[in-house]
Amino acid sequence: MTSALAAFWQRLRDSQKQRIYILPTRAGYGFAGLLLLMLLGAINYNNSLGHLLSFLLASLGHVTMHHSHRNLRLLNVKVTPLEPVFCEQNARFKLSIQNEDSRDRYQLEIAHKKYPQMSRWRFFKAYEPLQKIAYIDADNMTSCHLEVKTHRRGWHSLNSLRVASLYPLGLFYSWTIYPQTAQVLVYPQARGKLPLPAPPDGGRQQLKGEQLGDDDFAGLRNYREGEPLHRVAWKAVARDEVMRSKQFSSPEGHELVLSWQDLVSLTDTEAKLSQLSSWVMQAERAGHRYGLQLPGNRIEAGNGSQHQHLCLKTLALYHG
Amino acid sequence: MAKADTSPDHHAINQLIIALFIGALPHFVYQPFWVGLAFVLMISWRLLHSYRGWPLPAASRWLKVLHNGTAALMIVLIFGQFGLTIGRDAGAALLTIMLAFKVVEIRSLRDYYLSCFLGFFLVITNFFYSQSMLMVVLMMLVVVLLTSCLISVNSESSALPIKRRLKLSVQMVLQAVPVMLILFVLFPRISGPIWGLPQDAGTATTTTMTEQITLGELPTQTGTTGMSEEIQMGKISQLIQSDEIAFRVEFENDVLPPASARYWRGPVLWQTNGTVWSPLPESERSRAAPQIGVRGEAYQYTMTLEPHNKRWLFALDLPTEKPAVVPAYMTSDAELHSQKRIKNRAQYSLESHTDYQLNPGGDPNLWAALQLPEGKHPRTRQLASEWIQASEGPEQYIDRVLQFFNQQNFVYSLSPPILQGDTVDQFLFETREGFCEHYAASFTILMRAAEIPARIVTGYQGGEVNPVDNVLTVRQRDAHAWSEVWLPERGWVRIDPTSAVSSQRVEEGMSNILPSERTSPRLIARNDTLVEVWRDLQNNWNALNTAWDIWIVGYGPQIQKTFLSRLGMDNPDWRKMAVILTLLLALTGIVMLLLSYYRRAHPDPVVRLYSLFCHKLARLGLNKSEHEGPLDFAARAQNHLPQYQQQIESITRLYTQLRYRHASDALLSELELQIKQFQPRK
Repeated sequence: MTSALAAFWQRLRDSQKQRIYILPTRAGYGFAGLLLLMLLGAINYNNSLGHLLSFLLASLGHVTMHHSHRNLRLLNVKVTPLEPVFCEQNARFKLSIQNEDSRDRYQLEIAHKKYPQMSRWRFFKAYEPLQKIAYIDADNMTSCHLEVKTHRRGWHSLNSLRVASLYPLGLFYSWTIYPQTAQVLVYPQARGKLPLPAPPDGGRQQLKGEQLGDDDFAGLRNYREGEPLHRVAWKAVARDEVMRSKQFSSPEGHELVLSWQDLVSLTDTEAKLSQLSSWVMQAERAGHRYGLQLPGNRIEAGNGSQHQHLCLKTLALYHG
Repeated sequence: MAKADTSPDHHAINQLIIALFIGALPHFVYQPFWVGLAFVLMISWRLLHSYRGWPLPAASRWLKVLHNGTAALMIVLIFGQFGLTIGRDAGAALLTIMLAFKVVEIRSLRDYYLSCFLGFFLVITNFFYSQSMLMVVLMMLVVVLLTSCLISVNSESSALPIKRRLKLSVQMVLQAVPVMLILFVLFPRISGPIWGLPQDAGTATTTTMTEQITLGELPTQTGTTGMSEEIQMGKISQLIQSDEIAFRVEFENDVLPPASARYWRGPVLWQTNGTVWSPLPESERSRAAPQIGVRGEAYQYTMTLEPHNKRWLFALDLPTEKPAVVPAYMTSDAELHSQKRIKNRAQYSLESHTDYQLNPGGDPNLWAALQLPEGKHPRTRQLASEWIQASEGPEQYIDRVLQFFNQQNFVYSLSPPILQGDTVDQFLFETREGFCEHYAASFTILMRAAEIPARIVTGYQGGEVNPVDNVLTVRQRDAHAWSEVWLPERGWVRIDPTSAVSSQRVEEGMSNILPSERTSPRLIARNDTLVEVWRDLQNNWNALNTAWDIWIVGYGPQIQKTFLSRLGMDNPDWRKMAVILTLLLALTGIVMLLLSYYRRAHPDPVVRLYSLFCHKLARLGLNKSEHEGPLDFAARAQNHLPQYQQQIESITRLYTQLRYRHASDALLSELELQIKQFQPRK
């Protein structure tokens, strides 16, 4: 008995952590108006059953409020960011909602705060609906993807998520806010017409060392942070527990330096970053080794998806 | 608000149509046939759209014209039928029809909500016609259906199929009942109307709606038995025996007066022109209170009077005081008058004595009790003067007159021949067939012709006692008229000439005079046991209806006060009610909130047992996190509590076996035993 009470108390306190807001909808106000009209009619005609119906509906409204509130209680919302995207693409998050109550949940609307700077009095307008969840069974969870259109490079955050519902009768709109820290990296849009620059000395440069590429195995060297894992020589690791990566030579490859200096023709910073982003993609696709030269920042030449991500991330977070 | 205004699907609309159809059913009876016809046609149109893909009005201009045109025609028809004032009937007809027209053109969620809400309103219009128990069943049904309609547009049918939607709406409506009852009992009732009532407002009583018809003013020469200001002799050839309830009486301690003393006093009639009898005008009436002497035991009782739109209040002959709750006064002829017309069911408590003396010392209006129309009833006067001379006193004369009624071939008949010419003479010497009014009127004339002051008292006589609740019900068919004569020293003495003709009418009441088909269905009328069973059923049903009518339908400002003071609230007024109402509502709100935190046990006993196990470990600080499987959790627990390694492993093994491989009762009870024995301590 005491343990049941304790569990009860615990749940009561748990649910207090998440504040649930509730307001009548337009239909709810209409319903209230109808009730008032009915009650006036019943009083005017001294109609006892008219009173009874008005009171039943008023009470039904009250019950609806409780159901509406309960529909959002004890939800555990978790958001995990998915892969980085380019600007103007949709940033994707994985949303998982755990229903910790012994009752099913229905008709949840997930919205995110699109305009965080909007005045608090117009908070409804600040949110943009993203996803609808028809139901979550009792003690169960559901997950879905949230996609948000991106317009700026850098970290894209959901700011806060609003889980809302009109369930069960559409008379009340209840919602609850989950502040979010999950963020997805947005690369600058890969855009620009300038051709991939030639190697620094203008011609096909003969490098001192071997041109490292993907094609022929050229030996092992100590593993460096950022190199793809499939290049790790696992057998060698098993031998002496030193991470080494396999090196391949690529006779066709060039070593390019994608430099901010090459973009004097572009005046806009964003355009420059877009162009660099496009170059990075092109260089990676072509299998070149490439480095990045930005004001106050330099990335040594390399290739592979980790390297590409490093370059794009640097571009995404660039502060002029 | 973020609400996409999508159109509701066919299922939602069909469901709404069913709900509205049930809600409108009673109107098919009360309203002219074309209202029902229009309703059915319109909802059929929508149903044909759902099932056969017929076009809606929005599809083409012609259909729109057809739809709007018919709607306009209906409005014209309504005005034609009911006139330009929108009263109860016209309002209800308008709502029924417009709702059907609206259903055809539902396109958006907004339309859908509006139709649902109007559906709720449709239910309340039914109550203006009937407030029977059946109507409440109908109300509940329609409210449940409309609620499930609202659920259907706020959830997806894949998530909540129709069965579960209905279940949820039943659940919600049931959850709404406690607060409804609290509001019903405690919400301070105001006596309406707040604004003027239309002419046809009617007072929806129990089951019948026939308005009380004034006797004697009927062009059709038939009358419903009932009370009216005046009576007219001989102009009614047939009395329709109305079973409508006039009032109900509940006696304290179930002490009832004997059947022969159940006279319910109503208006007293003094003046006559030979055929019409009427009360004394207010201006000529004495203002003095009557002098009443009583003997014997008093009867205490509570009257529940059905609204009759007149001012008089009935009471057991003779009340000794005016009622306390209803503002009323007692006239000099011992008639109880309400200050206001009785438009709603009224309830009042009274004390009466059946053994009484009324104005024994003289009556200021005695002159009016001797008045006779000039030159009328010559044969009656002749007879009276002969007899009074032969009698030794008024008592002997009265006996003689009663004997005359008793021994001559007078017949008690509910369908007497129409009297023409001098009604009293014709009745006494020729037709000799009539009911109480004929006898009371001619007896009174005979008294006055012999210089004995006399008057007619109208009211009711008899009534049925329901053995189930001991409530005495008096119906309109129990309406009666009798005479009072004033004798020196004795005052006004009640004399019922009808009893001299038909003692059965007075002693056994009206229902025994009626043919048996009137009291039980023809089919079983011949079988005595069946008749008895039938009567028992009827008694119980009537008792239920009585309680319903008094306590539910009649629950107004007055009965609310009575009821609340019976519950122990002294002197209930709206302030006290509001305070208690608020407290109770807050309390139920809290209880509902707490109840909603109650967690239903998981349906699977295995899961329940395992969560008990987890709970036991949680007390030692070992919380199983969500992503952790039972095996991982067990490993962690074993690390922390090496002394319970075996138990934890065994329980976990049993659990995984039961949950993920196969379930058997033996394993389940084994798990239960092990978890019970598992008492970890640090």
